Amino acid sequence: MSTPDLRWPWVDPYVADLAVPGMVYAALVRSSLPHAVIRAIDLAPALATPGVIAALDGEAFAVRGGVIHSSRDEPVLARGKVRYVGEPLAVVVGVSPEAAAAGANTVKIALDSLPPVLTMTSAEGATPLHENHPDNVLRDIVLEFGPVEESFSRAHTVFTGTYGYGASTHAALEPHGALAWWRPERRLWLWSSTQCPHLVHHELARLLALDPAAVRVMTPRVGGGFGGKSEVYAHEAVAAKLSMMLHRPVRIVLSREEVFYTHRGRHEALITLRMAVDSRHAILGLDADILLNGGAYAGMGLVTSYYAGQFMAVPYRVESLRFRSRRVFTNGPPAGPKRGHGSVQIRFAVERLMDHAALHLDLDPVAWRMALALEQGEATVNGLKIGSTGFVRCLQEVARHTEDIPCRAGEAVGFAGSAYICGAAFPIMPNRLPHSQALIRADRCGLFSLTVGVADIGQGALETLRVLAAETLGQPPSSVIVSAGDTDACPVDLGSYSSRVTLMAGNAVIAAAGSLRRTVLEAAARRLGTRAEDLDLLPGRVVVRDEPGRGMSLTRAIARAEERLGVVMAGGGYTPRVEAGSYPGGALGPSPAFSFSAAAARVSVDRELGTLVVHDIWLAHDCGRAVDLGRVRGQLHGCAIMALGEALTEKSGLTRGIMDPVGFTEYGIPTAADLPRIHAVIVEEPDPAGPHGAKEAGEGPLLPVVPAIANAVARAIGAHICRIPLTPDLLLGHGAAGYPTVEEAGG
Amino acid sequence: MTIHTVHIARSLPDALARLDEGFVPLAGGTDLLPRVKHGVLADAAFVAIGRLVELREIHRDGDSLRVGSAVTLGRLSRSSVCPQWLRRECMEVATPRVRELATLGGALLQEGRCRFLNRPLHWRRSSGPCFRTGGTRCHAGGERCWAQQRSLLGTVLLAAGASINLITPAGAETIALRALYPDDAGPCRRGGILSEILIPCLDDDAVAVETLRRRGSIDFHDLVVAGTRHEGTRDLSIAIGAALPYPRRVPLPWECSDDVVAQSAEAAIPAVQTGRFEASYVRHATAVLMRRVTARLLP
Ligand SMILES: Cc1cc2nc3c(=O)[nH]c(=O)nc-3n(C[C@H](O)[C@H](O)[C@H](O)COP(=O)(O)OP(=O)(O)OC[C@H]3O[C@@H](n4cnc5c(N)ncnc54)[C@H](O)[C@@H]3O)c2cc1C
Repeated sequence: MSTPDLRWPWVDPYVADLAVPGMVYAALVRSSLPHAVIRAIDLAPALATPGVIAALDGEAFAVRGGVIHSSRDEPVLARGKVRYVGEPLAVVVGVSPEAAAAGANTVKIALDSLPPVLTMTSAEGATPLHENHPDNVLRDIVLEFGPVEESFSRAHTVFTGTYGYGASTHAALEPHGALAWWRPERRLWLWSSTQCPHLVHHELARLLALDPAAVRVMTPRVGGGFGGKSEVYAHEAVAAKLSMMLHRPVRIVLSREEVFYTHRGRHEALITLRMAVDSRHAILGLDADILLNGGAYAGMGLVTSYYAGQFMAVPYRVESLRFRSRRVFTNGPPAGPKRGHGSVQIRFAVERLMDHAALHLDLDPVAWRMALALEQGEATVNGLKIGSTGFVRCLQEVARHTEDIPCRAGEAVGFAGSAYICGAAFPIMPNRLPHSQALIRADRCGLFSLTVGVADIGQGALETLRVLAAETLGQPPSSVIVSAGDTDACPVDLGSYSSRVTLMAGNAVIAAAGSLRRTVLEAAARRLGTRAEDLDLLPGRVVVRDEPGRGMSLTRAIARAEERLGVVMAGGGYTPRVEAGSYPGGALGPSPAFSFSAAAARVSVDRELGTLVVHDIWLAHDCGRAVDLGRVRGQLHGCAIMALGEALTEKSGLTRGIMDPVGFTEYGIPTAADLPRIHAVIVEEPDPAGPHGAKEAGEGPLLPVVPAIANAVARAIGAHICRIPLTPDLLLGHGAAGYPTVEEAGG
Repeated sequence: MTIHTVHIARSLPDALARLDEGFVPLAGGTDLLPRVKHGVLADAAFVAIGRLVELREIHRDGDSLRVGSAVTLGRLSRSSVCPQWLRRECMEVATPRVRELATLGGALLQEGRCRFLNRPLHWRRSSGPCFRTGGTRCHAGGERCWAQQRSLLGTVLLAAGASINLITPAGAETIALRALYPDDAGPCRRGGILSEILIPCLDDDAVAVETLRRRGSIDFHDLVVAGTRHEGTRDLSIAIGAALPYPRRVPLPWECSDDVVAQSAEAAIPAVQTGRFEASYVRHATAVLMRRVTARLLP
């Protein structure tokens, strides 16, 4: 069978656009109870439905899924028990999407209800979701760095606050989808809307008991992810399994409602934070008790649990640090990584408490943050090393832009700061192999063909890599053609998460392009009778550095290299050289570099109604070197808008034990009509670890915006703001049912 | 989503004949079709009336504006004969795209909404049936269905004292818009085809509308308080909508204390809320908006 033309009529298709001959369609049957024992699943009525050709339940999958090997707890299709409304229980395949849906509707499920755990504060001690976690806690993590007790005993003032951060979801426009095709040569091809083709590749092989060499994962165009497409999901595994069974291509595309059930969004958090401050206003200690609502399964939750505490201090100098972090199981869809993974909630708590303390101590909130800023070469007390920092410059920028802003009654400006990783130093699947690889080939026509395993999820990662390759080769970006999105054809990249692509894949690209550059120059040097070190590669030409008139065209230089080598190509890889902390969990937190951000928000509050308007957001971000100013600015705007939604209008939760909301009419993404003026300020502080100094811009800028808005509201109305989202009823103290009581206290 | 039958009406009599056979009028479909998609309205046959020219006219008639029920909100917002305040309020509904489909007739007749009802099928099945879907309970805690019609224009036009033309096989009649919106949330006057809406052309400063809405677009309003001042009288006409089953007029004296306003809000807003907020907050917000509306209307 020949490869079908998947590119027609779409130049760049999404999974839902893909069609191959003989394709059939799958539909998932989902649980309608939050917690229940599965008594029976009868697939017979589905199999008798016209147009239905197959159906499976959880018995078809022997092993459990989960990208972190120590916490694999999620069956592909529920077995024995269901743990949230919307959990996949069975799958039905039909010759049309309608036939599959009709068949799925007829599957008979007998469930015996168990008491559901619906809030995180009631989880510990409630009916266990998992046998191996009788207390419903994934892991009780306690880490302590520096002399915590002694620091607190020396404190001049101890501030305490309890903060609630609401859950939210990614709301990527493209729903998840997959097309699986078990090929006659006994290989599995899978197209998936994923951020992590490499993870899907290996996890799918494990789930289906296939040799990884028999699996090929391809990413067509991906319409956004924001963390929500980082794990390996039921729809991918069932499509693959069914295709293997039926020897036919199987496609599945989730409905919007199903995407909401799939979730893996921001963890709801309840954080009690203590901060010890001395008489000179240094922070002596931070001590946090963090409770995270993980939903029904672990997913990447172990990472979240550590990140929640590990990033507490950075970007500030703090003498000692302690946190207890517990991610509890509840009967809701699993929470997971969302833009700013793990650190958004703790940032909110720290920045709120700092602002509260600044008011109490009569300190300028920006000047105090500047005085506390970690400097280049310093490390946090938990060992996070700062290779470069533009944090003070970011604070200066937001202060400069806001200094003459007049505020009327009910109006105020709030500030906050933050830092974020540029990739995790250690991979999710532990090994010492490169995190990113790149291949580049020079063609005699003067083009450079760059191949990477990166998943471009709409953020323009491939464009950034193209620019880095072009810069290294001294050529215009248009001379570099980038291919990606196919594990057969491309080298490894771990995925688009943790803000790692620019730094890690970028370094791999630079290594590959640098090596190619040397090869071409060496070939030219032979011809010109000089040394490669004496040559420059200019757009379209190789010239002798001190004799600009002497040289040859680039195409000739490449042709000479082809004559000598047969093919002119080079590869490069990137493995972070960062040490893990020598304590349990010490691999979770270290990063090759940190980005820094500062935000200011101007808000006005209608004190009678509790409504508020965010008029302006100033967001200054140190992204290292900006490889592409337009894309960095775009990320800053995106982060500001996503943060605005989390601060004011977006909230995911359970209603009658069911994920709520499950559609875009109800889910409160800010619309164009809600946007403040966003003033994006790019601060460039190149990092030695970054490709041409670049760090990250995709996630870090989100972090300070939520607390900046909350700090502005607190200053505008002179009240404690301890919860997100800031809905009008909560602001006025109505309707707190279901919310934990939260408070701040100073002195 | 399965729609079995849609009959495109060729004339008003043709449409009326279909109504007799149990067909449901379909105008822009922005209220009906999501309900079909979510399985709230199953197996209905529709008669499409949106293209009937008789229902698509806008013209001034003395002190009134006559608007055909199938005129879209987008068109009305751009009409030069439409008073400024009405154009403005049309622009406050839904989104630009929805406004190009949504008709004024549909805006006044849209169904009540509830956070337990306007949900996809799996969600509703998981939460169990309610009064509206064959069950015997209200998930919002009511003793009957308390779905709330979130019509901004219904509330505004109720305050403005609009009337409507209804056509049934028995003939045409003009009735007050109020008749569509019973106070007790019982069944309202329906049947036939709403052909025209007659709107008093009040001055811009004689109309005040205050709302509570989560976002500046897409979201249905959580609360609407509309008021009008009628020339030559000392009467204020105040209507509240979105947080109660139908828009409702509330009597309010020309001059009244904050306490009276608060009591009036308390009496108007039911304890069962099917939207985002609990009754205590909605009542508080209603009193605030009522005070703002009256302050804007008083000379
Ligand atoms: C995303 C979204 C946001 C919205 N936001 C708002 C908002 O902010 N404020 C607000 O007030 N509304 C809002 N709406 C509601 C919107 O105004 C209504 O859906 C729309 O006006 C209905 O008009 P339609 O022509 O589409 O009606 P249809 O959906 O066609 O019909 C609605 C109902 O009216 C009946 N009907 C329609 N015309 C006639 C007629 N001439 N005679 C007899 N019966 C008739 C139908 O049988 C049906 O029961 C929103 C809707 C959507 C989809």
